[in-house]
Amino acid sequence: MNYGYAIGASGVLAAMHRQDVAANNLANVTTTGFKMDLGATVPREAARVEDGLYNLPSNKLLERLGAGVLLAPTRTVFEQGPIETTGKPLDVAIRGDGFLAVGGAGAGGTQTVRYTRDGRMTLDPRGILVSVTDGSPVLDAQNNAIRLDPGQKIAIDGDGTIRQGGREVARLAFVDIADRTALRKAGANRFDVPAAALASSAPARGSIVQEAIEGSAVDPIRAMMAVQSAANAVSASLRMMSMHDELTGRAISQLGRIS
Amino acid sequence: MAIISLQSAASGMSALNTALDVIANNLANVNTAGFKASRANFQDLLYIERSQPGVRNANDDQRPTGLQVGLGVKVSGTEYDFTAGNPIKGNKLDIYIQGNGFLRVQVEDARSPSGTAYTRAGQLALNSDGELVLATDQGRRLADGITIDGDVEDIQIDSSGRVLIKRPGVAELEDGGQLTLANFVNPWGLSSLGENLFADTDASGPPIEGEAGTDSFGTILQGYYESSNVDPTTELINMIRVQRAFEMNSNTIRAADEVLRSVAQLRR
Repeated sequence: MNYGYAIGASGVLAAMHRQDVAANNLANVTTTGFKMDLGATVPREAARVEDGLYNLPSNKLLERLGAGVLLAPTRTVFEQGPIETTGKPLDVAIRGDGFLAVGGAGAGGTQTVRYTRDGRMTLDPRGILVSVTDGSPVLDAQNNAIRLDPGQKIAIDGDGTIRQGGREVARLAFVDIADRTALRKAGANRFDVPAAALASSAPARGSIVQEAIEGSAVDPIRAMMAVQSAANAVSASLRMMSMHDELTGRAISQLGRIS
Repeated sequence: MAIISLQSAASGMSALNTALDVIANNLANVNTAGFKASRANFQDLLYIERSQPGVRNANDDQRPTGLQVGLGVKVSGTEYDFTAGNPIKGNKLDIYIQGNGFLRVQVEDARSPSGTAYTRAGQLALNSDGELVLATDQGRRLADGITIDGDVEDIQIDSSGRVLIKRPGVAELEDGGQLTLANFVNPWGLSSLGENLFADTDASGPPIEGEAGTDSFGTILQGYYESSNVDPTTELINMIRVQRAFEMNSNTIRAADEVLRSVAQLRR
């Protein structure tokens, strides 16, 4: 069978994957604290390498025969998003490195801590500081929920210390996770951090800005171009597939003709 | 696969559409007394894992990261901005609350079972029975039940919300009643009833009542009302941003459509 089919098909599938990732970036171009994903691809090893054959002169042809493309793990770009002032006392943005911790329900009814750059918070009826997206509690440095007095002015310092009436009442968990590649997106602008990566967490070096939010870090032009270039790559790979189709057709109708 | 990008783009367009609706309503109420601007809050949707992290590869190494594809965006909710509007010089009976607090108003509305709604729009008037009401077409009574009848020369509302009546020919001011303010643990959880009125919900918590100037309540300024807190410049900038983002998502749909069409044409 013609090998080029498979190579063309791998190109189509990989480009479609890139388009999916870019489409998600573009859909989140106004999502607070959103970080852009890169749909990465890697070349598949040549046939000789993949089959573990010896480097013999007779294998030289296989050496040169590429094998198409594979999907690589999605990488998240932790670029700083624009800081937009909102004037709401319970909005915070993070300038520089760092994440806030948010509690939530994990698998099997357990409690889990997720990390976010989305600092839009509000108070629930009990006065507990929660995230606006789904009301999960925003945690302090000891991973406990924070209760505030709604009647008093809330001031949040650059290191996450919350002050009411001049007194320090709580301190937001504000950590940096050194191994950024371990972070996995969990939806709701949050990241899941595996326990191994959490061990490398340290106090954040960035600073918290009150009455502001961090806008989406997606560069709309790059995302738009990624969507379009993926569409072009699909067309090109499909074109290669139809050429191979034509070639096979000719091989059947002309080469194999019994005159 | 291109189906996912179509869905992501569609979710983006529908969420941005909601954001545009919110902005349009804010702009429409740029001159509404006591109006509080809203914003649409966005969050990314769940991610599908095309391959899990931690899977061993052929060399027996663990794959450090997974292969995730997002499924788009949604509006997680709208949130009120309760920053105060500016005091604007108004009629004699207009009041402005400097600081926290809502006026309590009687309503007959299924959405407010307690029969009380809350407002910051302190444009007051007297109805034909001399009751202190909101100067809207519904003429809703204040829940404090203040009635001012008889021959009145002047009405004063002091900073603590006490209503004082000046009768002609009488030097001393007559006590007309007390305006009580309400506050909420979570004012962002209030639900809007229209007519600048809010109703308490489970999310907002029950009202905390008190006199102006005590505890966390603001003081009352007579002769002024509160302007809308919508900032037209911010809203217009947001509108441009949302509109452009919407256009870009519609381009994604076109590009994904192109892909699907090319695939469909593969077999001639």
